[in-house]
Amino acid sequence: MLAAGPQALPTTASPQREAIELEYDLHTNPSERAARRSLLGEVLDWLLAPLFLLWPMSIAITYVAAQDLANVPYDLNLLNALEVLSQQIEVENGRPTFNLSAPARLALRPREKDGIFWKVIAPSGELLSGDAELPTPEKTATENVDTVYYKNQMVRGFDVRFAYTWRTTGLRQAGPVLIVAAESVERRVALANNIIKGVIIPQFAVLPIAALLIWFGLSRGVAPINDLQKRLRARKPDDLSSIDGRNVPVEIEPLVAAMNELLARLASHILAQQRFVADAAHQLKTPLAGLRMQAELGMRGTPSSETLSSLNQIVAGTIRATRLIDQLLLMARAENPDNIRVTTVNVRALAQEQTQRWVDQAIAADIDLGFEAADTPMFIHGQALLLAELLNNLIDNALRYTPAKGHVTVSVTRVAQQVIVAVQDSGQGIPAIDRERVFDRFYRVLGTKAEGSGLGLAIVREIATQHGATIHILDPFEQASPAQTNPQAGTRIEVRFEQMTL
Amino acid sequence: MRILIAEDDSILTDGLTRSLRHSGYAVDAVSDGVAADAALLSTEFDLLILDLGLPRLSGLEVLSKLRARQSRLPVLILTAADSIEQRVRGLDLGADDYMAKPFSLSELEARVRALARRGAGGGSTILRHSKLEFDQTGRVAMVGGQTLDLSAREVSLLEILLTRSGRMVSKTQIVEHLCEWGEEVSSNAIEVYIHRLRKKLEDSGVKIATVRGLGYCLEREQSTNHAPT
Repeated sequence: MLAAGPQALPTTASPQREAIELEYDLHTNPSERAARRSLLGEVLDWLLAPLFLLWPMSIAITYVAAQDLANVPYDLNLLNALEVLSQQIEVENGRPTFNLSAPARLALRPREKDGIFWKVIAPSGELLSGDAELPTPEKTATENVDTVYYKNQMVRGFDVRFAYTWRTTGLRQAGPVLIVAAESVERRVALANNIIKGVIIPQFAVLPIAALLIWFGLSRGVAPINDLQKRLRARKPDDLSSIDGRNVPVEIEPLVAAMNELLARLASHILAQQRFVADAAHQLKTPLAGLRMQAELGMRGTPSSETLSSLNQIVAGTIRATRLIDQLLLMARAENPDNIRVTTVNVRALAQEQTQRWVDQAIAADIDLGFEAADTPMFIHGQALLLAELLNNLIDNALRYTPAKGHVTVSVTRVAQQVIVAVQDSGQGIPAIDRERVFDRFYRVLGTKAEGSGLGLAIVREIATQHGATIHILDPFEQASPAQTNPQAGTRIEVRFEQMTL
Repeated sequence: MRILIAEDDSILTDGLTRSLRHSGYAVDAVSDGVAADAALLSTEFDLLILDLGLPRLSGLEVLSKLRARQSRLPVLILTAADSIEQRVRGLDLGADDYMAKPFSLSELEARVRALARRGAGGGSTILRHSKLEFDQTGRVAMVGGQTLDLSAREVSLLEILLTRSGRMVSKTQIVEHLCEWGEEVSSNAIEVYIHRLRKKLEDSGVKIATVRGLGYCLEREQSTNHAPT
């Protein structure tokens, strides 16, 4: 976690995220991914494909139905013609005769080529009237007298509709007379076609509209899922809060609920880990305390100067280790979502509190640590915990690089729209070239002997950035406080926050 | 002076025991909460050094049980988890002082001395600092047998500085403490009192340090046992 070199602070979620991404890559090679359908595509396929398959079927059915329909009026016509024809049959001298009146003839065949063709055959087979070229249906045992039969047959290359029936003449010995009426199917076909057109052409308009509506409806239905996906992608990597499932389709609700459960488990797992790390870190301090105590005890005896030096180093080592642990704990706490609530923070009060915590140590190091601020509260938006640590690190740093009899002043001032938190010390100062780099992790200015963990200013910068504040390293101002031996030496670090407008 | 140490880390316990014995105290040590409770019940101690992270019974539980028995035994808490909440909780439950691990030997000795002073004697409490002796009940300060001429306010001021045993006292706290005597005290008046008190304490070895913008505190007394840190 603390690898050398400037790089982004990895978050605790990072190892998990890497694992998840690896899983995804392993299980979805390109061909698999290509075979995966979209939900929308799947639904559309099942809706629209059958629609477009069924459509030709409906056309076929319409076609057949239309023809049947078209047959009805014209067959009625043929039936009437048969009646008319049968009425023309008389019996003379024991034989059937056929006398077609002129009006009847006209009614049957208004024009020479257009109308009903007929044929009347006597029981003897003699043609009583009509067109001889018309085919003659055979009377078998299945055909009954008086029943009208219909059929289609090709005559001279034309498709023709026949209606025929056998009628008795009243003559006792003779059989029935055959009457045939026929007409070309032209008109029927035309009618059938018109029917079909009337039914199908609207479908050309309706079907695309239906398809569009379906697609539109599905897209709208799926839109909340897309929206959910976008929201998830926009999340910060360490955001394990519940997914807002309010505008999600009912069918997806169980999925969202399951995901939220997973997130909750993950969050509590991470929390447990963090607590463990925190506990472990805290517990490390006890053996360190033991070490330090023993080393200091050793120094009390009469050690040789060599031994004394070593013991001093041991003590220094325990102090450094403790500082590092504190930094680690800070990072762990900062990643805990419970701690990162942004509130209104009275920076002036916070700074005073934090400064007070260092007074004992400053006195022990014979450094004059002071606090300067007007007596009014100064508010900014921020996270109290992190701001406290920012101050802690700045003060710690100042104390460490200031020699005995030196001065460190923490001040909070309001300038224009900003609240400026400054820590000024009378130490050795930071040369201009180093002023950018001191904030890098583990960067140490050449020639400094003090031993810190190397993370202090890096943490300060991190926290300042999170708060949208700027850091500036300046030469110290003139102080009204006790005179310094060299007013030029020293460092002033300012962190400038946007003041909160109340 | 009998001290009980309740700490489960053996190296730390060994260090504490030896250093306190060097200072002349009689020391007993236990390594878990149940043993601590039992020891407190069976023996009279003058000071308890209590680690919060004890096994079997936590330090805070030992402390509550102790205070529930109306015991006024001075308690110094050792804690690895140095957070404000922990400190407040410890002090609320009746601890007298706390130290965050790891600490320096001299710091430990100073605090033990301060707490031992508090518990000493049955009834009157005498606080000692360098050559100064302060009788809390009699409200009298003496240097080398000589009583110091201090006003009531100055006595209160001296008292609060002494009882904080080297910790900083903020101006606000001083004002609060002095106001217990009835009249209002202004922040500026405090500076005057401090100035006068300093003069009167010149020969006592007691030095009051100013912490700019924050308050005042007594400088650590120079003990003769070891070289000053």
